[in-house]
Amino acid sequence: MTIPILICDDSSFARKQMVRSLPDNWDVSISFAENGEQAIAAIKAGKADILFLDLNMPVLDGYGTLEIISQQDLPTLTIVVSGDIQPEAFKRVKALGALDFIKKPTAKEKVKSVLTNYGILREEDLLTSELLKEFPVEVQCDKLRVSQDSQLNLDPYQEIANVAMGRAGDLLARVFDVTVQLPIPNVNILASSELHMMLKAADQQQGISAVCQGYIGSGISGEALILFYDSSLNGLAKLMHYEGEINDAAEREMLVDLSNILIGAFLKGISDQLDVAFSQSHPELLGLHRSVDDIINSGSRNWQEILAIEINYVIEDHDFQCDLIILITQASLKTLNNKINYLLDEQIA
Amino acid sequence: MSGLDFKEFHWMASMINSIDAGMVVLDNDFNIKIWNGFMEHHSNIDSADAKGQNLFSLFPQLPEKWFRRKIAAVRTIQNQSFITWQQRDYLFKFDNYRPITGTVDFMYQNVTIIPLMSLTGQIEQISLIIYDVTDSATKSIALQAANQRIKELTRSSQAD
Repeated sequence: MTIPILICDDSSFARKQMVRSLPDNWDVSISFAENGEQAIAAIKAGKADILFLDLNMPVLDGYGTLEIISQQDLPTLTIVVSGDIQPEAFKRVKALGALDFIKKPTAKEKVKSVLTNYGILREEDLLTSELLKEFPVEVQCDKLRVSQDSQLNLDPYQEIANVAMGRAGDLLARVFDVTVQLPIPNVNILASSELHMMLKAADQQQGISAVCQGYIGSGISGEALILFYDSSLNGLAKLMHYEGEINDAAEREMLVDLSNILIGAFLKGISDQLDVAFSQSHPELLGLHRSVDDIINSGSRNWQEILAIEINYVIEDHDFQCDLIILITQASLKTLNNKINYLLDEQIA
Repeated sequence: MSGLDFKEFHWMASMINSIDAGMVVLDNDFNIKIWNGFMEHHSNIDSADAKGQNLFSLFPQLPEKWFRRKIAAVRTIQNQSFITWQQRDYLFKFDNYRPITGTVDFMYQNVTIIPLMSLTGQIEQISLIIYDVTDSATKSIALQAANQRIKELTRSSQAD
C-alpha cells in the first residue's frame, strides 16, 4: 500500500535532500510544503500519514505546526528534521508530540532506523526492484543545480548555512548552558558598497564592536565577522562567569572568546558538510588599531560582489545578542558551486 | 630526539600540518618532499599533488636563478638564511589571508631557509618556513608614509 508522506521545509535544497534520504524502494507518494500552514492543509487533505517537519520556517514554524496538530488531533505521525540540535529543541518537540528528531543534514541510515524503530517501515512496504524499474522515483535534480552564471541560486547556501548555524548555536548553548534562539539565516549577494556601509556602521555607532577573522582552504576563502552590541556586555560577562571589573582588556578577551566559539563552530559546520578543511587567521578587533575608513578607502581593493551569510544569535533571558556574518569572496563561488553539485550527485548515487 | 615512537610521530606530524606557518622540505634537486597544511590551503595545491613535483615547475613565477643561489649558499655555509618582506614582498604569491578587509591583495612573507643535516652529516634537504607578515608589513609601510608626510610638513612650515 502506498503511504502518503509530506516533507515540510522552506528550503527546496533541504526538501530534495530529504527525498534522497528516504529508504530505497519504499512505496510512498511524496508531497511537499514550504511552511507550517501548507503542511496543515496537506495533512487535512490526507496527504500526510507521515510528516517530516523542519523547525525554522517562515509563516508558521515547526513548533506552531506541532501545536496545531496536537490541538486539532490531526492524523499524522511527525518526525522533526532540523538543524537546531540544541537539547532544548529536542525536548520541546517531543513534548509537543513529535515521534522523533533527525538532525540535518539527514543521513539515509538514520532515517531508516527511525522509521523501522517506530514500526512505520515494514518489509512489505518495500517495492521489489522490478516494480521500482517500472515506477522510477522522479527526482528533479536538474532544477536544483546551482547555476554557474551570475544568477546564483542561493537556496543550497541557505540550507548549508542553516545546518552550520544550528551547530554553532548548539555549541553556544552547551558552553553557556542556555537556549539560543535560532533565526532563519540571511543569505545575500552584497555589493562592496553595502559591505562598506555595514562596516562603517559598526565603526561609527557607539556601542558596536567587531571581530574579524580570515579563513581559507580548498579554493574557498573569505572572512568571518562578529558584530557585538556593547549593551549585551553585562549579559555576556554573566554568561561567561567573568568575575572582576569589566575593563577594555576584559571586553576584548570576552569578544575574542565568543567569536572563536561562533566562527569556529560555524566554519566547521560548513567544512564538514562540504568535506573541505579551512585554516583560520588570528582574529582581529576591527577599528582598534586601524580605522575602518582606512580599510574601506584603500584603493587597491576591488571587492566586486561578495556572498554574505548573516545570522543574528539571541539569548533572550540574558539580554544578549550578536551578529555572525560570513563573507565569501566571488573567486570562491565557482569552487563552492562545484562542491555543492558534487554533494547532490553523491546523494543520488 | 631519542625514542621517537609512533604516537609522538603522529602528534608531531599533526602539529607540522596545522601550524600557522608554511613548511616545505626540498631535496637537492628542488623536488618537494613536505608540503604542510598552510601551504595546501593558501596555494590550493594538495600535499599529495605537490609531493615529488619540482618547485620551479609548480611555481614558474619563482625567480629560479636567484633562489638557486640562495640555497647553494645555505648548503655551503651550513647555516640558516633569511628572506624578509623588505627585500622581496613574498616568495610564494598567495592571496591576503583577509581577502575582504585586508588593505593589500597579496600576503607579505618572511622566509627562513634551514639546511637539514642527514644522519651521515650531508645536507640532502632544505627546509623553508614561510611566515605571513602582512599585518606588520602593511602597518610599518603606513607608519613610514605618515612619518615622511610629517617630515615634509615640518620642512615646508620651516621654509615659510
